[in-house]
Amino acid sequence: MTHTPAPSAPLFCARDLRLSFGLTEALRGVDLTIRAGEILAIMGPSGSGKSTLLHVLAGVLVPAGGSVVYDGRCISTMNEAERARLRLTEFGFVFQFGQLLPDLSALDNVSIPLLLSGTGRREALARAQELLAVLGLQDCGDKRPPQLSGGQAQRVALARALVARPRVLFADEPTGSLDSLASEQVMELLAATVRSFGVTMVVVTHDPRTAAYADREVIVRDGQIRTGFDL
Amino acid sequence: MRYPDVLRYCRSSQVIVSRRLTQLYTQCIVTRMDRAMILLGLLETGSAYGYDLKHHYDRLFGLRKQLAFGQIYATLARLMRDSCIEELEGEVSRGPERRRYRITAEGRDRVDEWLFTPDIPDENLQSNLFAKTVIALLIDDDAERLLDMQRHAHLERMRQLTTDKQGADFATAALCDHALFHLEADLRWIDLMSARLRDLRESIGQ
Amino acid sequence: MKTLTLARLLLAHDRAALLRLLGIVCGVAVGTALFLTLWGFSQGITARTERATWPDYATDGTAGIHASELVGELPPDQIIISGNSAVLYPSLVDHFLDKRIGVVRIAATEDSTVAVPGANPVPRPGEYLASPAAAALIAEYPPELLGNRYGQSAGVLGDEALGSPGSLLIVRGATVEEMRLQSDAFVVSSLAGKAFSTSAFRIAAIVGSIAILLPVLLLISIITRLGAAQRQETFATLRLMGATPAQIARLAVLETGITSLLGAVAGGALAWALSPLFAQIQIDNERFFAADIQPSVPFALGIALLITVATTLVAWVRALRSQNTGLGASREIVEKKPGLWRLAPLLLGMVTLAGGGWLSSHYDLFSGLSEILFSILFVAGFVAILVGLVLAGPLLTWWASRFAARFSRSAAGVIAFARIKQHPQAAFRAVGGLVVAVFVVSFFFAAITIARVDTDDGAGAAEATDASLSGTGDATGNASERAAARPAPPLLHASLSGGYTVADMDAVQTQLEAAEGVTGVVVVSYLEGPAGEEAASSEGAAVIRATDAAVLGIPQAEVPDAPWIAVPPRYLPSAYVPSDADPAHPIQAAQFADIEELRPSYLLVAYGGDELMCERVRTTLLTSSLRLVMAPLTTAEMRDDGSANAFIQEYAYLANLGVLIATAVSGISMAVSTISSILDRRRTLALMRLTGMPHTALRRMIAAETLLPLFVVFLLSTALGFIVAQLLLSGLTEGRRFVDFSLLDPMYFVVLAISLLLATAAIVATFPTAHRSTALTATRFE
Repeated sequence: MTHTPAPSAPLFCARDLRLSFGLTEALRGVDLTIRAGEILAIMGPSGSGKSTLLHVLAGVLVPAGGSVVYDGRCISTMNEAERARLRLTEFGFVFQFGQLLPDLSALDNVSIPLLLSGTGRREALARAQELLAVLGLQDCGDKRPPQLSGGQAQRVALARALVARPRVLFADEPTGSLDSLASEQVMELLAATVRSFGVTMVVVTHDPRTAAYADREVIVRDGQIRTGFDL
Repeated sequence: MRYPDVLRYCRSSQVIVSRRLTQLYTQCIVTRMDRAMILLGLLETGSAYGYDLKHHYDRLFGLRKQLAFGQIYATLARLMRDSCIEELEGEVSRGPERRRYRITAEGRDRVDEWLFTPDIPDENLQSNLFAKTVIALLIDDDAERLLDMQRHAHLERMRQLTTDKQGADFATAALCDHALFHLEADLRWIDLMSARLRDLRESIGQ
Repeated sequence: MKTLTLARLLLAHDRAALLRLLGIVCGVAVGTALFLTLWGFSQGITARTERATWPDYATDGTAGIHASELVGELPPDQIIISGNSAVLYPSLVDHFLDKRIGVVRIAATEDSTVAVPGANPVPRPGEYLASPAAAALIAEYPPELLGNRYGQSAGVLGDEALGSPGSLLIVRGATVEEMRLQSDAFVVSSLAGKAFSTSAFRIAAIVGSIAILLPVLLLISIITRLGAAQRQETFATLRLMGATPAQIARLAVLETGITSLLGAVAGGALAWALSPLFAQIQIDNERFFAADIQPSVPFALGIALLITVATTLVAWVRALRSQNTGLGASREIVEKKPGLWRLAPLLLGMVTLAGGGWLSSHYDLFSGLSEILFSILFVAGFVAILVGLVLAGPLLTWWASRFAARFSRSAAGVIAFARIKQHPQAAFRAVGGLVVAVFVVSFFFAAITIARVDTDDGAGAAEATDASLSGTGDATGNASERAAARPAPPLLHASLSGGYTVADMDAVQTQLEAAEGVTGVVVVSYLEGPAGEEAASSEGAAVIRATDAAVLGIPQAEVPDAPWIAVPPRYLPSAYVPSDADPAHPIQAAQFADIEELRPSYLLVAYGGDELMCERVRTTLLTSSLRLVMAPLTTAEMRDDGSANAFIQEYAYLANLGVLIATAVSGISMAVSTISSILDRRRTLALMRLTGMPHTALRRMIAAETLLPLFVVFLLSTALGFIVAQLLLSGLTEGRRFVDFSLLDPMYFVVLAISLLLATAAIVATFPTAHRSTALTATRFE
């Protein structure tokens, strides 16, 4: 079974991104194009700037130089409120850990993005339950994050990221705190779900087996993308 | 990077030359083709006697088993036949170990091609990659680029294996996992090597 | 490692830690000083009342026989005493301008062995001893206005006779013969004042003191808790390094013990030193002698020690208990679900008070052994309610959060109420101080409604309070039924002792009308005998000469043509008008057979001029040969008596102070708790903001988290304060008096509003910090 990324229009067009934190240059002129519907892995050693790149693509950070164009809109020139709105409505995020509110049940956690964008409580809970079922967590709805295993918690996080039907999913080390089996389960589910919903995904990881679920990878090193052999 | 510098670094940090470290490569099945290329690569660093070549090889790549002279002669003969090397004029009467050899332009091309063609990723190729990296260092070529290319090939192979794993039966999945983990081990080594190369470059000041 | 060494090590280069400890010391000092000062005031109120009321208990008719019943000579071991202090019976004392002067008359033998407070020896007839303040007042005005009333000055009254340095009291000498004719003169052999006329008062005082001091104790506990919170991280690190739980506990004990001791002793010294200054504060228009409110050194040290021991004990227990929080990144503190048992003390307390109230209205419990038991019952019930409020808080908060969670629509609400549901104790603890403060305030303001009087209403609702609490039967009816008839010229009402005839009065009248300042005199007499009874039932009991009607402002047209007329009460400024009075009842001619049936009861003297002239006339009346029951009073003075002197109102002043301080500190505590709860969830909240949660949602979440427990328990504590006041009052007055919500002082709502405002300010103050600490940069370094 092979996957053939259908040639599709570029969704993200990043040109000459530059960003520094104090004296450290995190991004030193990064060019990147991401097509709609593909899964991209951003890899590189620690401190290479890959998380920073993700944050810039997602509109969390504003680059000091260069531009990011998403779906025809220039993200890097939007104000914080607009970018926050974009993140809420069109992007989804999965992190390594700590993104679920420990006081809320899994179901409530998943419903939060819908509530934030104005959906009614009942409908939000219904959609959350549906999604949890799709991810095999239909019995975990009432449990709270401390009562779930690492893998289950990450799947709940995935549900929360997808519940608002985002167009792009950003994952920052989604398997970082999981063991091999849990990593595999989460990534399989992630890749399958994302493909079936037609969601574009950008995964930052240092783990090759996680990156293996992507369609292609870029290596970030010292704030730049290594080119020369394939892009 | 100059060979003497590399040696100095190697000696001081006991990385590549250290027997202990090279013994980590428990399996080393060097194909005949690759052995030829390694010798050719060594010759690219400078012309040498057959005898010296053997010792050079052993010191860098010999594991439990050292290279036999017979193997050297056969390989050198083949290389000569393929016009990769040529004999230097001199004492023809002596045995091959006493003959001096030199690489040709054709030979250089072959080394280049060998270095920058990624090997088919499989779990047994560590030694090849290791050899290639060392040779690249020795001949002052872009070792980092070859590592990147290999990494890319590895990832491509891992992607393939991951896709194959989806919905496969238990045995197939297990086999794929096995391969994946070994490839990952390679990648770790590749990453580490890249990092060390960078460190080295910085410390030498290039 | 020795604990002391470890402690010194921790503090060595840590300026922040030293500041924190200093903060605890200061906080405990302030708390202790406040405690001792408030205690001093409540003791002072008791002490000064006890000292000042020595005349009142001698002349209330229970201490000895009436002077007229004395047979033979007055023995040296007894004296005859009449009069009152201005403390207990403010309407019966002399008035001068806006001041009340207590006047006591004493007849004693030359070799009297009876100890009279402040008057040794007793002044001779015609002489008087005046308190320093009274002497100053007398010196300030011409004698015909004030000084002449009392005779010759014989010196200054000693402090042991006075309640406060500003007390106005005169002790006059009198002859035995004069006293026989005095209606309130009694023969006694010893004189002593009492702090409380009944145990109901004493219970009320104890309860009042507890309620005042509680916010202060809460203040101290909040301060030490704030200090401890920051210590937790250090302790966690120590545990990580291998310190045993016992070592940690010892460290906590050492730290808390030393800081608390220093703070408490400093606070005690502060209270002791500042008490002379505080003695100048007027509670209920009277200051204090410094000695009354100054805590004795042993007592101050004792309290300091007690506070130290208490805080140290709590710190020790907390340090031992905090062992189960795991070492490591997640600091999830798991709270147990609050159990139903938490409601027990509260319900028990209320049942106790209610039961006590029921018992007191059916049985006489204010005497003997049952009095002691009853007192204990009431106080215990009150304490149980206070404790129960704090215990039940988390449970009620938990219920409220479950209820709210079901109906919440917004993300902020869902998050906030889930947080409260998981951490009800922490949520309640943040607002606990405010809740207790509100309870205390509601309790006091509800309780003093029984003492408040509308200025339109007639006299002494305070006296009504005192009457109820002292068990002396029915209150004098609804104050609003007092007369408020047509306006009359300024009048002085002089009640006459018995024994006068109409003929006597004619002479007096002529004499008085000639005095300076007097514009008219009316003699009001009552009919005795069968005619009197009949007249009394038809509102025609008060009889005056027709010619005097003009003095009262009665138009000539309404005066019937007769020498004597019977005047309905509504024409008399100071008379009691029954509720079924006929407003149209006309003035009629008085019907009687014999002029001897008329008994002069009191004079109404009209005067022209300002208040000084009024005093002049008053002095004239007092120095005349008239035998008066009590000092002459103006109409206004008869109506507006003692409204400020309600016993329980004195405590209300103190309560306001304690409450405002507790509210301020609670506000700070709330802010700190809120911030720490944000910091605990810093990463999660930062990530949520990263995924697009707007910061208005963050603010609403913070507000909801704090406001829900606040709102719930605010309502509860207000309601509880009212209920407890109700139960206590009805219990102490044997079921006769109730809280009157229509008389609630507007000040109450002001204090409530200030509390809510402080709470809101505390919440809003946390927004910038919350915003900063959940900024997107918090997620950068993984």
